[in-house]
Amino acid sequence: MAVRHPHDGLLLSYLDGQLTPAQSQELSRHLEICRLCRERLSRLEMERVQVSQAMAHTRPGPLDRPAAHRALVNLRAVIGERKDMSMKLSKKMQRVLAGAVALIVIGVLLALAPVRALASDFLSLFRVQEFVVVDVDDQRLEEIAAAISDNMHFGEEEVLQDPGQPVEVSSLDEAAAQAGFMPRRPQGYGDPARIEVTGLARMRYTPDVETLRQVFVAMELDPALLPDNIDGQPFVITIPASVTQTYGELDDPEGFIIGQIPSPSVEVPEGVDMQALGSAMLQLLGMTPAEAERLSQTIDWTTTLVVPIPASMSIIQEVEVDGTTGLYILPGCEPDPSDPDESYCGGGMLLWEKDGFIMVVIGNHSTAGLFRLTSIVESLN
Amino acid sequence: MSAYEDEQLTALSDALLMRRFREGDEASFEALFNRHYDMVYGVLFRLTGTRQEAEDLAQEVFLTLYRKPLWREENVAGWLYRVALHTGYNALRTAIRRERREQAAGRTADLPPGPEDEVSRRETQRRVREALARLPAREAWLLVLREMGFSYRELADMIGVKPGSVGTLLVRAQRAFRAAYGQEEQDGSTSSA
Repeated sequence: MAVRHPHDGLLLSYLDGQLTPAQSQELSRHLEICRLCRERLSRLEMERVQVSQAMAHTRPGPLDRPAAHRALVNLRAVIGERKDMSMKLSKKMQRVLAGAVALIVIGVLLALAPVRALASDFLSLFRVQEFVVVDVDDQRLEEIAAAISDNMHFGEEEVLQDPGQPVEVSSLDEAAAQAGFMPRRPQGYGDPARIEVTGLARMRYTPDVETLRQVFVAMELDPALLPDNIDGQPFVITIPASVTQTYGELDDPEGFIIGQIPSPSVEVPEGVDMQALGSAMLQLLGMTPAEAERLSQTIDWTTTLVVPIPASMSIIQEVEVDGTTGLYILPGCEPDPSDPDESYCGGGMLLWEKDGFIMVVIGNHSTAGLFRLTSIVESLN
Repeated sequence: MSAYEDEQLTALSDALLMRRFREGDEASFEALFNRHYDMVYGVLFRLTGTRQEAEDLAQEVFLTLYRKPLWREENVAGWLYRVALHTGYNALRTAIRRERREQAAGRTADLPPGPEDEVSRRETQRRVREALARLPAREAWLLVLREMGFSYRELADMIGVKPGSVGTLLVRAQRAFRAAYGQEEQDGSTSSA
């Protein structure tokens, strides 16, 4: 007759004292008559003791005990300070975003990747295939904002094709007809409450190097880091039509959104040294020349989107998802732009690239953890 | 706040305190803070290894809760520990990556001077954390939480798995840790010999 031996997980639960008395008694009886399982138990116990002894070294020592009272006093002070700062920070951030669109576009351009050469003799086509996260210090962003004056023009921006407002459609087939691809859908979550298609966007940016260099000078960087040959040359960014599916209602903590978009592409003028330009942008973001050079050399600028993340704002980790490496982003809270007294905390988000598409799954609420999001991804067709 | 009010708050459930805080009662937030700070700090200290960093990150965790209180009758403790685990593990990985970059650049981080035992203790701590950083996040979290004395049911709740599978996951985590720690011991054998 076949004997049913307990699996290792059950044996460890026994050692950790996590079984019910009945389970524990049953296991004890089996151990009395099964030498094989006694040996397995003994091996597991040895492993458990070794790991526990090692882990015990991570405990706070006598000088590192928590001091909740002092921490609460500090927290109260920070809450007070941040309430005061939220308006200022918001304005500064707006200046960064509004005044430095050109810089950001260049940063994005630098980060994009080529999949195939364009027919044109003058341009290369770049397309996102992977992501690299770069931590950016908030202080640094403020310094960049301060270095930008309102009357600076970083070049010409021209919308070649306006994507218009997102359009709600009634089915995924209709979305497919409009977007040009059949969106993936999660199995077992019912029908989406809302499906929207955003049209293709295309814009041309022609940088004015001299103005960009003024920012570098103000940040005490060598203006020559920006090469001459990008001046007056057109960078064309194409963001294909995208589809978003919303599951659950907007304020439902169980709800989530799936976005799918073919990888954006950027046409970069021929002869631009992407590695040098990348290094310059990383230095602008606060890296030392050596750090920027080292990172720039490790990044394949032709396939990688560099995502600058303010250090204080998000929790980021690389995760294995959908058979590739993606990013899990758990944002911090930011001042709500429509109400400075309020803050907005987004849900956890998974971002990855697969088969030429950038995919994103966003939880509706900040409790949307990694495991919940990955289980949604695993159900995608 | 009077001692009586303090006691009253202590007797309230996390969910009720959260609801009262959402309605504007700051004392309820402070009661939640006092109830959970030590454990949140404990998670973060085990992952980061420095008092300063653990305190800074714990502050960020509670700031997040303060700025966006939870909506429903959720498990506040579970949420706090999950955010602390994410935050701490991310900080750990970042610190280890930085150390490796510095090592590659020939700049090794010297341990602070002190008595020989203390230096050796810190070196062991560093090696344990390096090993944790080599594990997938979930395995590192499981080992930290078990070390802190949480039950399998609590572990399951925090990392979102069935209680019955915690034992098996922990066996896997233990083995991965031993392999990684063995590697660390080999790497660090010259300094610990």
